[in-house]
Amino acid sequence: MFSLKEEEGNYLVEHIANDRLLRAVAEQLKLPLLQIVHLADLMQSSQEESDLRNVRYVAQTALQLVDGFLLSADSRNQEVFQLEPVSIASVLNDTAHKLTPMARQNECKLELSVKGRYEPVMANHRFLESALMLLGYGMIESRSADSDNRQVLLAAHKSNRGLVAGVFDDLPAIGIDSLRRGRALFGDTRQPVPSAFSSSSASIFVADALFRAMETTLYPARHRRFTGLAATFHLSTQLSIL
Amino acid sequence: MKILLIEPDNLLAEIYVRVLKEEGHTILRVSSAQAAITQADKLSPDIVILELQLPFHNGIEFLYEFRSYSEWQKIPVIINTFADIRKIFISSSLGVSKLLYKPNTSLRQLLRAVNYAISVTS
Repeated sequence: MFSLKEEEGNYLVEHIANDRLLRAVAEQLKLPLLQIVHLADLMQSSQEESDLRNVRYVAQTALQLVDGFLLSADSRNQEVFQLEPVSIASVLNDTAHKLTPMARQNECKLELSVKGRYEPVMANHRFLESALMLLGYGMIESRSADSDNRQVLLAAHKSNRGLVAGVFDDLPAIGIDSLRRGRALFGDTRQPVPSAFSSSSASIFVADALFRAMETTLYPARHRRFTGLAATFHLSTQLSIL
Repeated sequence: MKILLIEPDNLLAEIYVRVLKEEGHTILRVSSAQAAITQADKLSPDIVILELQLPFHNGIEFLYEFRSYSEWQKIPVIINTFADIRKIFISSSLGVSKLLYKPNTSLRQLLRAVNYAISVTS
């Protein structure tokens, strides 16, 4: 049983975490808003269809980030969040479809790598989709590279601990220490994971918060020859009967 | 004029390249400090436009390295960054010709800064 002091302490920890996440989100939102301002400037002189398309896609990215943050802030609300059986393959498939325009914009080759049939896992469909989308945004957009034909993989595979799902690419791996330092610094510094991301990495840390709400955690992982960030979901034999 | 644009975001880079090309400049865009040093060697830029928030080595590290080569000591560098410029101290020895805070900088202001840097050099 929690004492009042413990409850207050938990509330404070959560409040501080949300506050830091909000600052990281605000920092990251400067980018899409500036992109929209500049695109609007360009559209005054030229009526290019691609500019309009970019405005739409940039605004959608920003909305996803805000929505993801609000979801994570609401994870204690049982009307918003409840664990339920979710098919990871199907969520990855939808996410890959939605991320395709962004990958094209960033000259990435986006692939879905889900081989075999996986039993459902206990997660939350909306949270999982949002977390994977944001992870995808972070990995595609904030990890800029000068190499052409960059490959990004939305993937799932089985491991000893369960079903691993995440986003992987062919750039240098993100180390566990970088991620750990990033977790300690996000919101307080503009570039918490400088070895991997050029931005505030808010999308990565909002995804991290969403995964945590689903009782799992984001960690550096490997899929075939690719490295990236993923979370493990425990497989349940009972769920496989469903 | 040959401009080396160091910008990690693809869409912003595309916008800057478009606007600067319309002004008749030749642009080479890179997204990291390492690539910038390599490309600067190949391009011999007349001006550098630099974002400070870069993956791996940041823009300040790039500047120190860039200025360490004698042939690049006089090349104007315009910093155009998301980093809060009120909180940044940049040594005058690094020779930054203009410090711009991206959220407050319109495309016109960026062009003005480039044109001013050109006029001062030539």
